[in-house]
Amino acid sequence: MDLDDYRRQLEADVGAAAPPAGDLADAMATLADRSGPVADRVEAARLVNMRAHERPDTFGLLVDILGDGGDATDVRLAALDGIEVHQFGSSALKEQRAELTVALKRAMEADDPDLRERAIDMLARGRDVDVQRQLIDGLRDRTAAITTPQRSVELLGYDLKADHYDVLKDVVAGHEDAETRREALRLLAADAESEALIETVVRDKDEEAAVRDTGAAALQAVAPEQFEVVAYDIVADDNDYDEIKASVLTKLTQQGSTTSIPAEAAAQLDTIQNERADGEPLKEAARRHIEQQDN
Amino acid sequence: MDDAEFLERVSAVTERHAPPDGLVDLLAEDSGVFAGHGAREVARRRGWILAAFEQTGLPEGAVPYVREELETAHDPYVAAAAAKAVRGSAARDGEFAYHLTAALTNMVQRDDAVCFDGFVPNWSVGSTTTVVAEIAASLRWLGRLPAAVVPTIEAAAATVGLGAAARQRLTEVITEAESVAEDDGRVELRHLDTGERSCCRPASPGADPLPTGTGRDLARVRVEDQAGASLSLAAFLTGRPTVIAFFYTRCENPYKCSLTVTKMADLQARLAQIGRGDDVQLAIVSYDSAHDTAARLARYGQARGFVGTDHHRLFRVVDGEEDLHTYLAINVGYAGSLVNRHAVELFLTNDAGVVVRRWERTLWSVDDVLEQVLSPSAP
Amino acid sequence: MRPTVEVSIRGSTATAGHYFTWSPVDCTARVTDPDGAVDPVAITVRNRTHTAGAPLTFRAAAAEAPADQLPLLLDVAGAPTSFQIVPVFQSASEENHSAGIVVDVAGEVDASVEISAMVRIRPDADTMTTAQRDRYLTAFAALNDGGAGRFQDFRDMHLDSTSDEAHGNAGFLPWHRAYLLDLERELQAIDPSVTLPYWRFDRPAPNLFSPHFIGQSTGTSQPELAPSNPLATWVTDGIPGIQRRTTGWNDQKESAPGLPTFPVRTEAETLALGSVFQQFWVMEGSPHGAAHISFVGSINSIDSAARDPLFFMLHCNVDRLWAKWQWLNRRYDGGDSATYHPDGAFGAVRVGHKRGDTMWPWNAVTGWPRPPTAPRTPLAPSPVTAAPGDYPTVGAMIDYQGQLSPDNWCGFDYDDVPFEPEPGGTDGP
Repeated sequence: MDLDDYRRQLEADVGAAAPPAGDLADAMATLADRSGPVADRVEAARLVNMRAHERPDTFGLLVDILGDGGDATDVRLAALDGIEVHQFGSSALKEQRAELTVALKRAMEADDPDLRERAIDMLARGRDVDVQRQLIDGLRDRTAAITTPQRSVELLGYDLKADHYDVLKDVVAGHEDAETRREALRLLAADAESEALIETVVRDKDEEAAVRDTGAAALQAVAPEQFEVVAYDIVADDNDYDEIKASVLTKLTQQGSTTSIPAEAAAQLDTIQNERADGEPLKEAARRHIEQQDN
Repeated sequence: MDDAEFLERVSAVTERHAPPDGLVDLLAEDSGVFAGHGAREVARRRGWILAAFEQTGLPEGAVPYVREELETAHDPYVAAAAAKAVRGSAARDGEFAYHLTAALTNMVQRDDAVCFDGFVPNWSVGSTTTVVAEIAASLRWLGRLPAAVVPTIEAAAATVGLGAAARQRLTEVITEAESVAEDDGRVELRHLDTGERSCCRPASPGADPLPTGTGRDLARVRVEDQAGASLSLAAFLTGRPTVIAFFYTRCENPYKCSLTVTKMADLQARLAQIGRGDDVQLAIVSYDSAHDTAARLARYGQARGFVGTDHHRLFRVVDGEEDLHTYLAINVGYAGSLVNRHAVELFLTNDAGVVVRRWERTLWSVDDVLEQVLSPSAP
Repeated sequence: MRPTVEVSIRGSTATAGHYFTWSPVDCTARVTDPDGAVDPVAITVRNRTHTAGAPLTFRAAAAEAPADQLPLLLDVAGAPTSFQIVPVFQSASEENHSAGIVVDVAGEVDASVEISAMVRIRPDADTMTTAQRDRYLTAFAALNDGGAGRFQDFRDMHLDSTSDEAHGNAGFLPWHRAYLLDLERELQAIDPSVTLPYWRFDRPAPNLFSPHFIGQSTGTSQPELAPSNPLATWVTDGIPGIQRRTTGWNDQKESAPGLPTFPVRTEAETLALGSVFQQFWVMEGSPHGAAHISFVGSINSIDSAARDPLFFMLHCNVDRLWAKWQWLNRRYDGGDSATYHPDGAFGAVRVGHKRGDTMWPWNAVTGWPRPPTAPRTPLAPSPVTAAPGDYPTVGAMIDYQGQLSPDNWCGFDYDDVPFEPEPGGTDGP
């Protein structure tokens, strides 16, 4: 490759990508004018967001707008765009930390679900205990929910030390939505006292395959040695499903098992090797596991 | 314990003008008000209790808790509450300035809003404050500040990312402190970028009480070390004096476990320098034995410079954990298997495994521990 | 007469285990046993041809144009003769040992010296071969070791409580360059053929967002991973799996969008920010922050981003953009205020961000305003270079290709960022 040509091509591309034109002070004035057209203010926010670093006072304006319950939703969302991105590094935004927390609490009360949800997400990321309480309350009492059950569990998952383990167990035991239960199972892996509950789910043939699979990953994370016992029991069980057998075998193979294959499971693996068609996922998983054990 | 019961326990003191010592009992990790709750909820409850001392008055028994939170709190709410508690003190003791300044350096890069208008505050109507504002208010309340803390406050005020209002408050603290400054000569401020975190606090307080009358021993306690070796803890402790620290790898507070293991590595290096590496044993024991496998212990220690040897080891407890915790009266609480709160504490045992010195709720210094271990009257 | 010839590559006479980037490689050849020869020994250095792999070219001195073959005359008394290996830009190796050189000794077919090597270059994740991808994922999963491995160090380094060491100041780019290099070296200790791939977030990357690679978004909290994917056993903080879904965009067809009024800058837009570092550093917001925030999940906050393996590929692209900006504007001299903020300038005030400062945690410096502990020190060593050192400074990350001094060569390169010495510069490491 001719480096001169390569450089010229890049220079041409860069030359064609000029930064957005516009005066930052004008854009800030437009954005700050609560009486102006919303579309103009959102457009102004675009420029302010992209060039906020040029004037530290831009962040105060963005936080003010976000926290202003009387301002237009679209403008508040645009301000939140800038805040969310600049959270990745701006020390000028950091100066607004306390004001931002208050503004986000106010945004949680907005009528617009998108604005509300994003404010909740941002506070949950910051491990806000008041938001965590609301999420937990909402899982216990649907009428108190500030977001969906699945999102609630997901948002609690930002914090290993939230007060959520009891409610997660309730979700696993009784929630109707499989995705919510899977998310709860995943988080319960952090708590060794949840091992028995997770194992029950993994062994339960009446459970959905995806739930059992997530449970298997959780059990392997929280109790690797017990996972081996359960996994080989599943493999040895004539009446269990191929999908979960293939899944636990693959997990055993990837993480490496510390024990030799129990006799009943070994016999089942031989049967699978001999009787299943090439290309079947279970046969492939069995082959790889035997190979790894042999090595 | 649910919110209602907890609040009733607190208000039994605050609203009925009972002696505030009743609140001190609630602060212990095993008081019952924290059991089973997550760490964030525990922080909220501790903060609520600590903040109450501003109104009830700060009893002597609460001072170690306040001091500990100022030095180690990672949560702005708890640090702000501890700062408020100082203002409940009967005496404007300048010693608090060292602890408040430590809190300031911990919190100046995370000066968040907090709200004490209600245990579950209504942010839309409640008044908010910030952690640095509360620390600054308490420093001003003290009136007279040791000269040694002023440079730290000045440096904190100049921190990149600190808001203008907080900067102004700290500037006011400095301005007022200059007019009443005195240097009580307790400690010199060390270089900010290289010293231990204990640079800004007074010399280690007097010896903390030893655990007594537990009715337990270590006979059943078995541990596994970072290399996977299983052994009796009592056997390990027999024959040499041992410094015992506690930690867990999932601790998120950088002023606690990560710092503890780092300082134990420093202690190890200092012992080696003076040729006493094999004379004094070091044991770093996990609170979180189910999670902290040997591999995790090894990696965590290695990353912080702690070298596993026959006499210097990281342990997880595989049997008799309750006996160990009772024997040493460990200050730790749990939610399920997860640690929800623990104190910073260190023990020195003699060659029979008997505790002869304890550092409780304090950021012990390597110098102090080394001095104790090497003193002629050492075990 | 069968003279014996020894070839030394960067001071090593090993016949394997050499890893090159685009930077020219200083070598010597010498006669170790003349076996009776009295005249200079003629040799030819050439590209090994019997295996597919990255072609190499050769030259006697930096000023010369490289060629496929290089004839040399060696002093029969054993004095070394210098030459350079010049890897061919955009011809990286896909496998270990797939590049190589042969040194033919004139008239002695059996006396040839054969040396295997690899032109080890960071690739676009979306264009990796299946074998490259699987080696990378296997190494990464091994480093994680179901949550018990050394990967935890990298998780412990990138938290809210440590973010001021690495964000919001001029050292953002150098710190993350060291962070990635540290991680890459850990992966190479597991499999030396592995390099960190980058995620070009301004282009669709369907091969990356695949169940067989980093996972395909499903609309649920976790991307779909194939059961055979090594990342299926990924665990951080005791929790299995990866929490990530897009903010509504199609990761099979679209590039990362950022947010409605804060889009991800394209490569050209990023490079167009300006030719001075203070202008370019703005990229910490967009594309960097905007790419992070294109997802819901761990990756959208500093504190939890390192729980997601995609985070490292995102940052590898951020670093590639810096490298490309450096090449475009010839910015390798950290003492030049256009290349890096001078001390005391905006963004280079805080300790840890000035050019001469060592970086936490590798420097083991603790105590306010640094974090109280340093959970990883020193930086992982490399068998092929001593740079950037155990305790790297901010400045040591700038001349990563060794443009100004061969000693600065950090041992990595990107597939689309060439080594091109300035006229009058040095001739590479």
